[in-house]
Amino acid sequence: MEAWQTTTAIVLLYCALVLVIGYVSGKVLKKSLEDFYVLSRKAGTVVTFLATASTYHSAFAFLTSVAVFATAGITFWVGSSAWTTMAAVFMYLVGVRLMKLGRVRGHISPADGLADFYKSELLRVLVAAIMALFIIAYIVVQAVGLGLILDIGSNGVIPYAYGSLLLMLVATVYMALGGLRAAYWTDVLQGVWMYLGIALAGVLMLHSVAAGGLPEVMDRLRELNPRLLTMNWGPEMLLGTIMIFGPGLMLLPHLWIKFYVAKDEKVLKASALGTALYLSSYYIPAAMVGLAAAVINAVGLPGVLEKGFISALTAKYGSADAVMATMIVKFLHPVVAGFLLAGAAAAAMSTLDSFLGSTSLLLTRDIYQRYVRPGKPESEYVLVSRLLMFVWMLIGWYLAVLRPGLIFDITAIPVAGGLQLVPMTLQMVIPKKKIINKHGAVAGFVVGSILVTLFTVQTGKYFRMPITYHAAVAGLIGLAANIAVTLIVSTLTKPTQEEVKIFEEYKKTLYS
Amino acid sequence: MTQSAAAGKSSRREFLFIVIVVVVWTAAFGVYFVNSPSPSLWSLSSAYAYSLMWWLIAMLVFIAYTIYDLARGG
Repeated sequence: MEAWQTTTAIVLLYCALVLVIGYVSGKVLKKSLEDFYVLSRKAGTVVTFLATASTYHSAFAFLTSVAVFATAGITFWVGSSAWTTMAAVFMYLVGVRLMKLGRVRGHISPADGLADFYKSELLRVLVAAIMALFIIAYIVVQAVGLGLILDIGSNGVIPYAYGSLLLMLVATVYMALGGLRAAYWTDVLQGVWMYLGIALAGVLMLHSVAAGGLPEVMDRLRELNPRLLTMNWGPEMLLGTIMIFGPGLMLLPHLWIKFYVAKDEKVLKASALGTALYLSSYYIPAAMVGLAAAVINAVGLPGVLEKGFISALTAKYGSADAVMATMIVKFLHPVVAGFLLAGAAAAAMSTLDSFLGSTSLLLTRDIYQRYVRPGKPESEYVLVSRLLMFVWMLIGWYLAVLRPGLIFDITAIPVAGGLQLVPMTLQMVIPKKKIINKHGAVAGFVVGSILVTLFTVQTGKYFRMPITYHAAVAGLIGLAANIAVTLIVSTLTKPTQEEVKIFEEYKKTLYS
Repeated sequence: MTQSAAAGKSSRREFLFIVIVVVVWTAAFGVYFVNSPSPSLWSLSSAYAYSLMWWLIAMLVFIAYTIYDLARGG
């Protein structure tokens, strides 16, 4: 058996395992949306923590983090250590309040909660539709990651486009079989697998490149490319990444609905702490692999990888995201490589499944159930949810085939969109004084989302914008305008009586 | 203790935590004052070492607060 066959077989065996889990969890699924999406709000700490952590970490964590460490150096650690811990703190403070409100008022989606608080059906449709559109970019990056994993793991026998389609189908099928219940179950497995995978990869590869470990890599980089040992982003980029990958990411539907899963407040708080530890420490071994790759890129390793191999990978795959998978295949035994690439697939699938689930939830519950065919049996809505998962999967796959660029940059777009939910959400979870009304919330959210789209490099070009930025900075620009517009419009307009009444009910729920 | 008095204490704890979070996460930007590749602790660059130390402190703060908060009923 050739090395690539062993590696690919292990990845495919892993796929079979998650399909079985999806099938089994589908067998115990009740035909209701509440069970399909939020596990009937009964999850304990282990499921809540691992589902949140493994959903947060995606192909972004396993593939692009190594690529950015290899090309931008320790800059990625400075940013990621701050944004992952900020995300968990946000979960601790805001997630717990969203959980309490969701439990009392029956919310199972972000649009549900916001439309209820602001008494605005327009807001429900806007949040559902805009978030569903932003999320496509997130589905695309998982598709890119999955394509790279099978292409490199199989030594090109399963090409990028087919590999991506195959693994996306696996995630979609187990989701369709078992709903988010399947995603929660597989997330537990995937969360453990990907963490062990990156830890193993870090230790093995660092010592393959430098017997003296991290200090030796540091010394060599100090001679070869000292820029990689300093912080290379400006403060605005650092602040932007903390905000978009912190609150922005935690407010995207796939993570927001995780708050509703926990069975009580203590479970969610303990899960937030576990999430902080998991998410941030994950990047310690990722740094080892990325910095080791940077050394090899500078000097080459005879018979294994050539000097400048990152540029060659970028030319072939359209971005440096293939660095991690290439390092795994080139340095490690095929069995270990298969285990690690399955870990990479786990990282991508555990996010993809939640995205497919939460997007179909937004469109089914907030649009189809309310406006297209209201009052139908729950089983019809579950069926529509399943069909929508396949539609969104195919859209994401098609865009991934176009090779859209570095996963890090593409991921930043939807989370910059998620950041635009912050002002209206904070008013919802801190109902002390009514500052924002539904007119302000709608106006601010729309202006913020439009500015993110216009000022982001990848999307701004379609509008011929003369000045564009990384999505992290565009997210901050959108947020600043969003807050200003929200406050101005809320000052100039009055909330309805119904809105004020609901506000008092929320206050009672959270403060008494 | 009445339910509203307990809620008041919980709110004060939360406010204190938010103040600490703002201070600690602002300190993450201190990396720009030591932004050099020169070796420091364990041969790490001073920027990397600062950031690792910052992360350890941030985690310790979060762990300490969580234990304190959960011990008082969350």
